Amino acid sequence: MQVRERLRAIQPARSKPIERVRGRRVRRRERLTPFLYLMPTLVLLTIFDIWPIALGFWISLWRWGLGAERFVGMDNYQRLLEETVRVEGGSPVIGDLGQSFLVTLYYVIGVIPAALFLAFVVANMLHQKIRGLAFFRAAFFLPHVTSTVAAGMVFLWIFNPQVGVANFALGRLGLPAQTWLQDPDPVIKKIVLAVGLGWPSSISESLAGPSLALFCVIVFSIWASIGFNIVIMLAGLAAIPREIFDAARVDGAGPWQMMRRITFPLLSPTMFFLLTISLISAFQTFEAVYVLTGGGGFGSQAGGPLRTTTTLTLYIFDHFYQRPSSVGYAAAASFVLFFFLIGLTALQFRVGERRVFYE
Amino acid sequence: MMRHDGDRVLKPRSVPRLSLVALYLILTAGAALMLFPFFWMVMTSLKSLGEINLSPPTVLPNEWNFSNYVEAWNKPESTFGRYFLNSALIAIVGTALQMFSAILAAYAFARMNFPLKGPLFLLLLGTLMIPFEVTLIPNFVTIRHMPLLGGNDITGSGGQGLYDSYAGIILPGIANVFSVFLLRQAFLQMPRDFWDAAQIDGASQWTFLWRVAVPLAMPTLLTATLFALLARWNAVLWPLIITSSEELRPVQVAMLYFRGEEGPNFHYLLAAATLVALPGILLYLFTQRYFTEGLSSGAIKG
Repeated sequence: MQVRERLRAIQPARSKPIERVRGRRVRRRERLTPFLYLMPTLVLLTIFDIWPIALGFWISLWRWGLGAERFVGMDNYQRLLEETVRVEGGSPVIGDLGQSFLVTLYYVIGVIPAALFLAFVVANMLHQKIRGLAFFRAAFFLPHVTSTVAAGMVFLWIFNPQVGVANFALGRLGLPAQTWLQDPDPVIKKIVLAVGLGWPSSISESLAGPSLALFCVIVFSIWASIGFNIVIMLAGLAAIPREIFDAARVDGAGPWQMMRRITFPLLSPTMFFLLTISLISAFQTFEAVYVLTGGGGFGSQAGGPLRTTTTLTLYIFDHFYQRPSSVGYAAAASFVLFFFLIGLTALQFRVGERRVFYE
Repeated sequence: MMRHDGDRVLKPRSVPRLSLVALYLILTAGAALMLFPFFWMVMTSLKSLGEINLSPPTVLPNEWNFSNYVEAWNKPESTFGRYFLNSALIAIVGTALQMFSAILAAYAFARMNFPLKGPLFLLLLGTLMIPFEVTLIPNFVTIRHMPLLGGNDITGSGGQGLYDSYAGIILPGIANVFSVFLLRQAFLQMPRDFWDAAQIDGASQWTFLWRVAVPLAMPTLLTATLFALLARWNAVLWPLIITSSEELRPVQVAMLYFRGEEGPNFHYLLAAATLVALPGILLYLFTQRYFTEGLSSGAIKG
């Protein structure tokens, strides 16, 4: 405070003559300073984040290999449509891209609700008067900081068809061994067959839920992302004033009522944030699939078995990196995905505005 | 300003004894499930090839083969030593540059006035919406066609630009909006009197930034640094596509090749995986507090 008062006394007397002496050039330099500070960030962001949108669109108009080969206009986009759904002999056939979209959808539906729900349960448990909070939090968060490649190796080993622990556990439960990450059969069909029913041949197998292989990837991703959700939710829970709970308890509210009337609404901004982040990152999932079921390099098929784990990102990667002259096509696909994600986020915010309770 | 330091978090409810036991049982079971893959990774990495293929599997190794680690380390032709050095170099240099540029930008946004400040900041936040799939392919093309570098002429053709170079790996990730955002928050919280006082002492913006503002924002800077280091250490996709020569390969990419080469030798694979995962895990375990705080302040507009 004192400093400020002293300043107020000094400044008017001091600044005027100095300005007159230093003149206009100094003032111009001062005006330039902020932009000098911003320059590295702005230049790099422009080159590597903003410019790529234009460049990506430009590339998507070309047949592109190591460089531009032939201008093809909207052909790549037309091919995208054809690869999504085709009509062959009067009946619709799901193309490779359509298949990837379904795979991604199964993945998103498989990972997000489970990861959010489990995290919510654990976060509420940890948000009590308990000992060892730091230990539990670290235990749940550790997978999130572990390199996906390294963690993926362990899951490959756990799901090993011959000597993996997963099959050992199934054996103990009296269930038949599985080939896990190599099994392209849809989980829902497996269950239907297991209870003794037949699968109607009129329904395409692509619509019968994730393959067992994708199911394993989903388990891996839940394992890897749950800790992040827990830490964020704990922060959200800590931000709820305890007086509200105390007041509710005095009024005779039970735990379920407090959960429904206090925790849910007051945690809804946090949950909304997590849902947004989870959706965006689930649609971009790459590494987990690449490591667990093969990215197409090293002699494996991209998103095997039978492309039942080829997520959209893997599809784009495969065309961009491993197929000749389809960089332009991959760019077109990534462009469509971009607009899809923007639309999805916008939609989410419109729905969220009505549902989320802000204090 | 709220503190999210986990151990001092408000604990609203005391729990009756019986359900407390149940609570601990469930939490312990959950934690065991989460930690099992780590346990299994280390155990498998210490067994012999014969033992890992036993059915039913042994829990603890019959014979503790610590030599697996040495053998895995020396297995790939140019050895893991080089890959670790690459990863460390990429992570440290990349993070240093990221922090330097983020500090400058954050300071400008927090403590300077200039035209278009609001729109520019919105633009910055807007880039967070751009998914990496969109930038991946154009950035690959941009790096390959950098004018006058790597044998390229002024139009960016002829050579391979920054493709297959450390610069090519590091460059696209330097400008990081998340770091700028975190640091800006920290600079904004600094009392204005500090700047006034420093000005009386004749300090310039530059001196003030490095002598006063940065030291005061150290916890936030540390948080941002840790996130950046970890993200770079664990990165796979970009280094995979932007390099081709083995001398530049970071550990994560090397691990993918190692898997291709070693196939069923999971004791070696998991020994290598343990070594690859360890730096990140240690980094987290020793600096947990900063991670938790950083994540929380990013989420709950700190």
